[in-house]
Amino acid sequence: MKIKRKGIAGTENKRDCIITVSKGDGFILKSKVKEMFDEHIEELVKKKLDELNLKAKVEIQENGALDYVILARLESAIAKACNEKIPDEMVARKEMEGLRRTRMYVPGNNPRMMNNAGAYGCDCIILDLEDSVAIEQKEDARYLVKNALKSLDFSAETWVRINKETAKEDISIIKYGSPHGVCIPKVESNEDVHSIEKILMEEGMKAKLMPIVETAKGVANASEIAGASENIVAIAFGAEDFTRDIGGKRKWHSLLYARGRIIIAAKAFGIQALDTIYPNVNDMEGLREETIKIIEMGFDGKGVIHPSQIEIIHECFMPTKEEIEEAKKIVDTIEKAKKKGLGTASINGKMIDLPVEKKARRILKMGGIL
Amino acid sequence: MKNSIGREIPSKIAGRKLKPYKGPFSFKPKGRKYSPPLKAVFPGESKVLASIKEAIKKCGIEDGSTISFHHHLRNGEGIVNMILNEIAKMGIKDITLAPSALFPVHEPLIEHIKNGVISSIHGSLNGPIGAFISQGGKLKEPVVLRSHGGRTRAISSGDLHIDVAFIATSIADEYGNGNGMYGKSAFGAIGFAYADALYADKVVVVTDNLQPYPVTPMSIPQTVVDYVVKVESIGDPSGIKTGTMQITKSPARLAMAKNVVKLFLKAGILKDGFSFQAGAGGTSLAVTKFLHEYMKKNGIKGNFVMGGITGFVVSMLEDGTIKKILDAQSFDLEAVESIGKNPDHVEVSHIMFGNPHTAGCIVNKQHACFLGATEVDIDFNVNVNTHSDGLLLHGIGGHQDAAAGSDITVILAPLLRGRIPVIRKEVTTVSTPGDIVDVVVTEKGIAINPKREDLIEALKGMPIVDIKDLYKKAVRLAGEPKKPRFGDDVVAITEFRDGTVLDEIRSVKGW
Repeated sequence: MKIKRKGIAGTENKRDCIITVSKGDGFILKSKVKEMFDEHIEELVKKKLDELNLKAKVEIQENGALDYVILARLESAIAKACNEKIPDEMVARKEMEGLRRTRMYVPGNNPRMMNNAGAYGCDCIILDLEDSVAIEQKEDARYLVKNALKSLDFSAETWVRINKETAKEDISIIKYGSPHGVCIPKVESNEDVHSIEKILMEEGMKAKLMPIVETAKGVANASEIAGASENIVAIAFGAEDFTRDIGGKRKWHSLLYARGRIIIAAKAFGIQALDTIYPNVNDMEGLREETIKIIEMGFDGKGVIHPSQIEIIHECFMPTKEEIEEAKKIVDTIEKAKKKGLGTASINGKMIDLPVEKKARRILKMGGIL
Repeated sequence: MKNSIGREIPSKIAGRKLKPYKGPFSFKPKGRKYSPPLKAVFPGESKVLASIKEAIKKCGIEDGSTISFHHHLRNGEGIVNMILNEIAKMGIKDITLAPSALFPVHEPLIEHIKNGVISSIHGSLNGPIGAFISQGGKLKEPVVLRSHGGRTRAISSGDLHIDVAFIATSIADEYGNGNGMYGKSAFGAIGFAYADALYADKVVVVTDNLQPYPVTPMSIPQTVVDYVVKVESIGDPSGIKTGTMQITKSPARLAMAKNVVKLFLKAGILKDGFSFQAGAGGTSLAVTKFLHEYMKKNGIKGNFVMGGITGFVVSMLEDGTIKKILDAQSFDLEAVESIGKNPDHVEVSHIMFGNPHTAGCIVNKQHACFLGATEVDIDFNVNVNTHSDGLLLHGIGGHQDAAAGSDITVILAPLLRGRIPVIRKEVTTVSTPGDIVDVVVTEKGIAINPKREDLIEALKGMPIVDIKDLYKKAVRLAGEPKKPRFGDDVVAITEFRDGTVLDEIRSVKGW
């Protein structure tokens, strides 16, 4: 790689840094904790430059950035300076059990929010490259999302919401972070899904898919979308854009048809239906009321834009005491059988098969027991 | 020599032999309490003196005397500087200062340290004086840092002999009865001053609000008071509430606070009769608030809250969620107002709060406490005194006492502050030994002291992690920070509440 011009990445925000990469050599660090970390950060930078076989002058203005943020900003600055993508290796990822009651959207260029995103117990975390990231920050965000996926323990299923228009650029970088899945925004037809699948194939990335339906056309074609690929595990509804698209107002009744249509499409193909976010983060009772209703409709989860919404939604999904007792019995029986070295277990002469066991474990998880 | 937690400590300081820490409940005291001299004030004699200067003369303060103060007005405290200036003017040197704590407002004392007026300190140091001492100091002997309960133990046992106690009260009568509950400078409970009043050779009540005899409650009773001095002002109550007493807004810290409530619930202690110690840190305040909400919603009635009392605790008393507040230190003006009017908001001393060498202190009756930390290490030792740059910037507070007494001691600590790891391989200074710390709650998981097998079982289903993994995680995210260069000179020691020594603090020589 060779430096063609000056490359700058990052922001002045807390937990972030600004890195400037230019021709020449040398390392300048401005930081409140310089004495504690100067050698460590210099080592981090040197290792990355050596890896890329690059000579450069690197200046860092650090404001509480963790190592992954420094690496992300460094990579982005180098990519801009060299006008080349930074190569990397894909990480391995552990499968999750597919509970998706809550999926929290985290802005893709905000390290402060990413650092603790795993602390709130939500089922899915969606690192967003789309609406929450300004155009001029998209490149920085791709490298930040990738490095966050590689370094942070989110204790959740991880997803990246890509941009429809720049899907290739997005995927070619975030693929190294091996998220569990890719959220495709504004899906209106099965072709929209196919074109993303094609890019994934070209980039050698395996991922679950979650099309987001948020236009009139998307709702009209919900069935076609739900059946577009075997990799689709859920369809999500986006009510904000949908309301704008149809020229209506966000009310329970105005969204009812779209929700119904999405539920039917999803369930017909045996996948999950995930409801839109609740936009007023201060109205917990409104959130609770809406969540209870969408669960009654058949939705499997709801979008989250603030950590305080998670607990309320999980409470709405809380199984009954009887369900929990039943599930406990099933799991206990299986555990006992396993201890005895038995391959199968049964209750009252009825064998417990895998789907039953999975459901029982899911209920215990939802009940906060497992 | 080394103590039982592997810390190197000096064998003696200032000619006094030190006892190494051997475990939280292994030291049994012998002997009798220190007794102050007999006194007699005959009918018709007056205790009221015209000035601080006269009080200094009458009490016989001279080179080498030990004088004490309380810090209930915290950063609004107003008599320490006043009195030390007077002492300096009178040419007295070599004073041992034994305040319950010093704050940034006391920065002018640095001059008195430099010119030899103050030559040693027993007491908590918050801010600039601590920093000054860390960087080389100039005191004759190391500062002795004690917990609130530990300070009262040292005073009552004679380890810390006080020649003259100056006790600021916001109301007093001419015979010395006084308290902190009423008047323009009211600060609430006066728990710190009880031990000084009982055991100092001479006691001077300093007030800006002299009222006709008798003033009640007689928190400081006339029977121990030698003199009364009226001054313009004892300080500014708005300085009580410092920046640390704001409830956290961080979603991650709020999530930690919620986990503490869940933890108490799972551990089976959050039921009728629940009693706990409240704290004043941002996350601790959130725990108190969430406990209140949970108890109210589920009709759970608590017996008492010990504090560190804030408006959050006052509202629990007012709506009947708890039966009593035991208040040794009022942390905001809502608490100050409440203690003056609500008979179930009871003032207690720090002797009663945490002196381990009595026939039982309040902390022993607490089901839980949740405390902050600057650092926690993989042996569960906690540092609240020094920062990662080695500077001594805080006192021990009631940390050790609460941890030693409570059934469940929770430390609330983020994994990192900015880039600086809070979970360490080894803390810079041991303030509270890991022996009495049960659970560490971080935003990246909850670590349980392996000694608490009962909790490991009870807390199943919560995000439990090995504390060593938390440490590794912190280092993976931010690297291992460099340690500052320490000098050879010991500038302070941390004493355990029973008088044994936990750790030494060395001077800092930069990086």
